[in-house]
Amino acid sequence: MIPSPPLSRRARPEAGLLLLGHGSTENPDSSEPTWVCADAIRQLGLFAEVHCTFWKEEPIFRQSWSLFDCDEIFVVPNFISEGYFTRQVIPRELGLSEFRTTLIQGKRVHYCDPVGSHASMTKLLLQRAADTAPGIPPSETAVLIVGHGTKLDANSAKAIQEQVVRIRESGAGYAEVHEAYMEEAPFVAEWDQITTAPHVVVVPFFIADGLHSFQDIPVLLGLAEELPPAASKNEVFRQNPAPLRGRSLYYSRAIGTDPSLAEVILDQVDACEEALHHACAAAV
Amino acid sequence: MDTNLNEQLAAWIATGGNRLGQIQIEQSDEATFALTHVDDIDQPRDSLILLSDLAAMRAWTRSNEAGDLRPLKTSPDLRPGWLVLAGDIVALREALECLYPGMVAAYFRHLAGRAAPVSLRETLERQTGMYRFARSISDAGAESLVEQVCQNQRCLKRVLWTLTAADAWSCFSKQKTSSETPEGEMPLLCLEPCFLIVAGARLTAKREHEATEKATS
Ligand code: SF4
Repeated sequence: MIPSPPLSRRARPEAGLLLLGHGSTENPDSSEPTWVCADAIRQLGLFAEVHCTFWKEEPIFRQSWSLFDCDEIFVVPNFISEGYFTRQVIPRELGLSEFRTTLIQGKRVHYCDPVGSHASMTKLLLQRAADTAPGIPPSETAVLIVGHGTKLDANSAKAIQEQVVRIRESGAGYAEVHEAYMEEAPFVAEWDQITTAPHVVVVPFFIADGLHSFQDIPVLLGLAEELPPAASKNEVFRQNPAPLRGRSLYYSRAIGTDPSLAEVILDQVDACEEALHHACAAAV
Repeated sequence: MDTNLNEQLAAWIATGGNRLGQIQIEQSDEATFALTHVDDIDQPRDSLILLSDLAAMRAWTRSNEAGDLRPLKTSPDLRPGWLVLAGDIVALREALECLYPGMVAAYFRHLAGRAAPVSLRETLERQTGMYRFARSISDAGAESLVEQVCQNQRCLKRVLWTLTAADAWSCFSKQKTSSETPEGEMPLLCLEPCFLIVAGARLTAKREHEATEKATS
């Protein structure tokens, strides 16, 4: 599933990796992408130990340190953006300081940035767009990156805006690339006014599939009527392309369900280590 | 140097450890382990469904026999009918982490005196955002919430934390708040309140607040 690591991928046989997810008591798919990445990274044998903890599932964030034997741990939040969770909840529950590295129970803990903010997420989005609309020329295609959008958390919109700019500048040749949100303008429900290209690929910028990607966004796009909560979940992804409002609409699963997310996690660990080296170099 | 958790798990098995919650562990040779549901101990192995990787174990434990989601892995409704084979102690630990997350670590840290329980009040005081309000829950409201959510019919863990550092629960049997188990059984230890308690405390606190408002208006 996950390709073998690039030759440049550094093994850290003495260190541990902790992936943090939100989890859910109601959505069984919420934690799966995080577990899948942990399984894949464990198989690569790059770390002494790989564990996951969650806010709303077991093992809980508070159990994090007890799981590890090793004394150096990289912590990667499997969250789509900086925000309330990565800045308040996680540091509070894990006992992290405001610095990148904290000494906790004799362990050196390095807090990495969330997966969604890494530049390699762009590669994943481009791959996802291409896989969702295979054989469709980018020059006739608009890509729409969809987030929740809420005034409470401006950072999730910021992460999407950054990705939109990066995809535009990537040279992939898409006719248009736009952001859209469920709860604020530009509204995903107005996708046919936001875009003009004949083909439109919609990628939800979430870690996990759930009510938003299975139900809320399809309804807003006009792909589905109101669905009962237990409606067959995958059906909505099997209709590609849907002829709708005079266009061909392609709808993808949440970006975090891509198995290559494991690569982004590893990139985030590399970036964290690089930042630590820079900080050390600046200090001497 | 301390022995690591996998070594401690191996030593526990070597001295007769074979059960956690609803899981039975059998050792077929020195480093090969078979895990089943305790109800399936006498079932022929080939009548059980082999859960061959962690994803299969997660899928199996996700819901109970009635098809309802199991938000807690230690709820007493683990479906029987499965078999997990672990080729070595590392694979065994991975399987146990999947079936009962964090429980191996909690037990051995507790044995070593390195797992201090965290009280409900301390947990609630720490909360921010939508859970900040949970801290206003009354002592009586907290006791009845904990009794309801943590009872053995809903969660097999032993509740080692208390309301404040100085209290003891009057709602539970001695067994529910102790780490003592019959020989060979690893207790499932709860060292601090989980997300169900924090969310429940918020709801209870809200209801209590509304009831007081109503009574005074
Ligand atoms: S607080 Fe502990 S004992 Fe109570 S339900 Fe949660 S996990 Fe079980």
